[in-house]
Amino acid sequence: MISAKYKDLYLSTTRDQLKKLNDLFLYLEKKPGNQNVLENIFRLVHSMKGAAATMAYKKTVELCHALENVIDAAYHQDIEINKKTIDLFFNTTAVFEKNILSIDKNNKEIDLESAIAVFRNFLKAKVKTGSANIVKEKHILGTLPTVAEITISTDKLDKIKNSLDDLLINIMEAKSIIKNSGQAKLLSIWLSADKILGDLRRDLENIRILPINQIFSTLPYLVREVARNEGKKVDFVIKDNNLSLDKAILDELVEIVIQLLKNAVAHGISKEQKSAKIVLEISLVNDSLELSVSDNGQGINWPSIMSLAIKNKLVSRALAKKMSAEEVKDLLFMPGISRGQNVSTSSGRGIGLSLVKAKVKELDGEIDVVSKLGKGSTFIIKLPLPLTVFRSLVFRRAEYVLALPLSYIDQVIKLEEVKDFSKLKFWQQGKSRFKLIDLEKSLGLPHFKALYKYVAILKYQDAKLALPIYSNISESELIMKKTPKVVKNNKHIKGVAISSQGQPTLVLDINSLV
Amino acid sequence: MATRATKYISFYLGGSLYAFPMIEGTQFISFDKLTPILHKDPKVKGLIYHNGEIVVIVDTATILGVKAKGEHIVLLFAYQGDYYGLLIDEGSDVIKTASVMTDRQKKDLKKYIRIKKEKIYILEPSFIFSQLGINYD
Repeated sequence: MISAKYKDLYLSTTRDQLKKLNDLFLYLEKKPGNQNVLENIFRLVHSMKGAAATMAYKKTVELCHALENVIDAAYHQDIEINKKTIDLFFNTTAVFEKNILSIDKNNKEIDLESAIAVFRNFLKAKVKTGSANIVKEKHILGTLPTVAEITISTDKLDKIKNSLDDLLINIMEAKSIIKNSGQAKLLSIWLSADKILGDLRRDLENIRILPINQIFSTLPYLVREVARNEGKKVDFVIKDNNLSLDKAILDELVEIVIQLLKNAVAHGISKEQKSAKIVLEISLVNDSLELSVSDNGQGINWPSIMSLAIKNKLVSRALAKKMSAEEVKDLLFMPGISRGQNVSTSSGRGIGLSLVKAKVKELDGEIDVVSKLGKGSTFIIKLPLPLTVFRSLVFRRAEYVLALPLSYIDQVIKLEEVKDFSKLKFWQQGKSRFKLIDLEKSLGLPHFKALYKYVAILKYQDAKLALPIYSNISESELIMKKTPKVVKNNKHIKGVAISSQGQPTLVLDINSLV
Repeated sequence: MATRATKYISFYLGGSLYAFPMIEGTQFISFDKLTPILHKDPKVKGLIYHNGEIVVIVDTATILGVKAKGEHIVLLFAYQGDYYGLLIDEGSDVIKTASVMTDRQKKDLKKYIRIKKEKIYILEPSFIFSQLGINYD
């Protein structure tokens, strides 16, 4: 057998291939006679067979081969693609998934004999009834071109990104030196280097950025399977608004979405319900990513959630009476509610909401739920969008160097004479009246009476806001970096960015200041 | 029975020698300029930028209740993708030992290594995180 060091590569490739296979089966279910889809399925299964053969997973090879035979028969219209065939295909992908899980955990294949036998018997039965020709070793693959793909860990991509960030900082510093020197030749070289670096950064980002629909493509299959197991029929709609995201974030999101979808099918939708529908929508709202999972099911019975919380001793009866609607909502995401119950819509949303909330928190996001009994529920997740390189207004407050992205700044006004804003709540400029932001108060800094030289007029939704600044104002290009845990606790700080001098700078979160 | 030796890196702080486990990215570095952060805990001194990463500078002396001499040398280490720099006075040697003892008299740093007759107390990352109020799964 090929060295075990290739196992991870095999597993990751096969997992990706299975996602694509599920996607193709779903498409085939909608367009059963589509030769192009069958051709693609055959090619994919053939590729999976090749990978399994390389790793000497003999039974996996046999299963792929048996599946190939059925696909081949369908392609040549020897068998019909109907509900039974589609179910058979989906059952096989489930077997493949169990198999790769076993290879991952136990280094061995599961027993695939029965799955292989199902295919053989399926074809034999078709032959007996005369609806299929005996499968010959004919191939639809022919000379189809193949594209080589490699798997690379995000850690390695992060290291390259860090090196590019360092290079960018040097180039940004070089820019100011070259500008001051006034040498046209140097400036031209710098411009060329800057463009190449920009291209490199974009190329690297493009490696990580994937269309959401590519990652979410397996979700219809998941919903279909959960609904089938529950004996329910659900219409599932994905509205991805053509968005693309960093794969690392998408991978995290998928886990959250899967849990919410499972809950929606299992607990939101009832067996008797007709026209059951679940909608997954992902969109950009201001500078956040908003993801919602809505169902038109039975809704959450809040009094039952409350009773369960009391029964599980999460809250006392006395405290429960005083709880606000928001506090009752929080109960839903507590482990004692989401784990320790007999799952039903009347008593709650089922397993895993506490885990969902923890995951959302890890991503610096927020989760909310809106539900009406008899009408359905919507779970809404808001995640901050990662910034990369951005221009920013940089200024000092006490010993702190702070930045506010230029996208939030309408204009910076230099005052004709220094002004004391300490006793003012509003500032009149021409015909406009602006609400003054008290940064010292917001950031918990000691108050002192400063004489301000500048006022930054902010643009944030429809609010008219002004931020007085007293010194050291500059405009700078910053590179956003991973926010350290100690900074995450501060709600006024969106993250930490690096200046062209390699200096960490605290980026203010305008949402918290408003 | 054979016991696996563990590597520690030792450093001086407030006149005493301490040991820190050799984990990912452990190294001594020096820095010039620190960015203060809005953090009420005086145990966090600020941030620096090093090799593409933001490093949280920790006031080790305050945590250990000793008086530091220097302010520009740190023992850098990485933990679950985050980077920390422990302010120290001076870096010292790598120690490889299979013998870690426990001092039951001590409240915090109980584990130590004995080099000749000297007890070198081990500063575990988990202790640092507990002091900073940071939780890792």
